[in-house]
Amino acid sequence: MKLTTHILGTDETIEVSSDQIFAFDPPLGGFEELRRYALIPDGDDSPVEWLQSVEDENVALPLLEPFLFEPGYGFEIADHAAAELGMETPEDAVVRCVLTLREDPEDITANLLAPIVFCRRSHLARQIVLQDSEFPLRRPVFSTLGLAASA
Amino acid sequence: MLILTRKVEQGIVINNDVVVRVLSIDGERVKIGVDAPRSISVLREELLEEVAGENREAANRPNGGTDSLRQLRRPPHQADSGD
Repeated sequence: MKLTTHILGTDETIEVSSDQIFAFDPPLGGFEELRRYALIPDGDDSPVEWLQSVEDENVALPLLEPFLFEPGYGFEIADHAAAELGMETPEDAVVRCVLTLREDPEDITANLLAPIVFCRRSHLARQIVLQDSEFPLRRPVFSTLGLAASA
Repeated sequence: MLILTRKVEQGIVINNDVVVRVLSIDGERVKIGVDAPRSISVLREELLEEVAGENREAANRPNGGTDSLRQLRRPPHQADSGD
């Protein structure tokens, strides 16, 4: 299907396959009216992916694999949540966290408190707010992933 | 909305398996105990609002935000591990 996106700042129409589409139930907090999103890679050498709403071209959230910058990251998906997501094996789960971009790269943070779990078997997804978690809502990522040290 | 009056140590039972009990009252602070199966998610309401607010902020790219994103790279030791 064709999708309009503003990821690059300008209108762009891209082609996405059904493999890239995920349904959120319950919907993502803050976007209760939106259900379907496409998972779009940012680029070949970028660790980022975009969660682009199928229903609202203006809604796109950058995502990052948390294990890239927080090797000790982990949480338990409750059995009922795994079942509701249609997960049959742990390999069905793809975990991403939402990035909040800011003008200064060093101020970019990742939300480790509420990861998004995608089930590649069912193409269902949901954001899981961790209970009693020591992982923060805003974890700076630039010190781990930025170019500052090597530039 | 159901509104009930409870005293300290009194509880309410929801759907036979969730017990909410008033443990203590100190001025404006009420300590509440929730005894629920692990399958029931119990979260402070403001935490959900914070997460929703962070999601909205994440979807709202500031000036230069996409440029700053370009400065993120995979860590070298992860570069070849496909997913």
